[in-house]
Amino acid sequence: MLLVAWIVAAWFANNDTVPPPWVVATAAIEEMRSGMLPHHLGVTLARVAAAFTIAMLLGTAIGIALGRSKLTDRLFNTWLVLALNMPALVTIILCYVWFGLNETAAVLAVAINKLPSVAVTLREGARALDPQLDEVATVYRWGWLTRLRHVVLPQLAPYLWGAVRSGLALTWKIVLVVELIGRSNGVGFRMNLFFQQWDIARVLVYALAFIAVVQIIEWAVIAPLQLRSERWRRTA
Amino acid sequence: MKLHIRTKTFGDKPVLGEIAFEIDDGEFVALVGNSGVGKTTLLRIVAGLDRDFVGSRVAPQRIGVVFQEPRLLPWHTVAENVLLATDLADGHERATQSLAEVGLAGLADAYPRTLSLGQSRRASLARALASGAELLLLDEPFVSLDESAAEDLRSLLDHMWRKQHLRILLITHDIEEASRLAQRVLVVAGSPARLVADLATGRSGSFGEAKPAVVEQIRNALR
Repeated sequence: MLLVAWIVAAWFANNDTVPPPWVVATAAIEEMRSGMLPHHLGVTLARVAAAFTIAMLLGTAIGIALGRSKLTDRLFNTWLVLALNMPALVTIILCYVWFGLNETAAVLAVAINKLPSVAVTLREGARALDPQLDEVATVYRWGWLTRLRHVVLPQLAPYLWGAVRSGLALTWKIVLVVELIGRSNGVGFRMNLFFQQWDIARVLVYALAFIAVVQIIEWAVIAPLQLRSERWRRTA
Repeated sequence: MKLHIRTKTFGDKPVLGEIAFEIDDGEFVALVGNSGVGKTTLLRIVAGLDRDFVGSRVAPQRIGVVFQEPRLLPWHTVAENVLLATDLADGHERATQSLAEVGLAGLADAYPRTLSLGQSRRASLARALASGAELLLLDEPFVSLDESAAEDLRSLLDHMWRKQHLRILLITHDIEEASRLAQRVLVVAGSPARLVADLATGRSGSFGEAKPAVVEQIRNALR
């Protein structure tokens, strides 16, 4: 269906703005052969992975802290709302200005964009933690690591998966912008380059390749992991 | 185990008054009181879960609690739940042994969701036993069970007590049950609740019928 619509659109429109599928496929093969596509995809994925990991870890920690203590929640709630409403572009530009046009700034900018929404989601989860299970942990004198692993995180699992799902999508969108503004490699950089050369076929190659990769990660990694963590709900 | 509560308040409201008792090693004590008198509050104090009271508490480090709701971790199997409670070197053997003793060896790999209430309470008991508890606290462990399941669990508890010389505090509203199982019955009543009686039941050997005289004594103390 999509393919037919594409061919029809290409037929009517200018070949430059909507290149037909075979032109895009040829461009894709060329980009693969030259090694450019895998290279830039890899660079972008590495940034997504780094930013995503930082945002999830810090966001979860902050969310739990806010959800479990009314005092910290009151102290930091305003900051959190501010951070949530901060336009992505502002953090990106400020990070580049303050930390320089480097990898740290790029990854940090993305992580900072994602972090507040993780924290807010996990705060809700931490508020819903069952105090009865907490008492079991106290009675059997479990250390904080055991508590975290066996009592807290399993209860937060639905919230964590929600954050992972929305997080991955948000992270890679912002990574492209970050690359477009201040990096000389990655999918975002390439797309901008071809956009300036009005090589729409290659813009589409990078866009589609990245969408495909994100879909594969979702199907091959995230969905099976989530299924495994929720096994106990289904087994009879 | 030695507890002396002078007062315990929730906000401005006093809920517990003068309550003092000791439980010796190997002793089976029941605590009886009407619903709403503050028995669970008392259990939480004994368990060390609530330290906000005026008085003193000396208790062993290792305490096992069978809560009224079994409170198993739903994402872990029965065996994993039991194993988690013990940090002892022989944890695995202890867990397997306790599960066998409460008759759940066949359900070791089941998830708590799939158990009946009676089975969940047994799992909760196995967890307390595996922890190497020097004091076992049970909060209404027989409530909401059908009579045969309740009786099975009572005789299991009795058996475990005699075999392992456990120190047990059983909290219940059931006078007969208390006088059948325990050697001593503590009665709390009033508002704020105070300890109004500390009676020996004269129980020896395996548990059988309740002695009418003891039941009558407890009933009078509750009035």
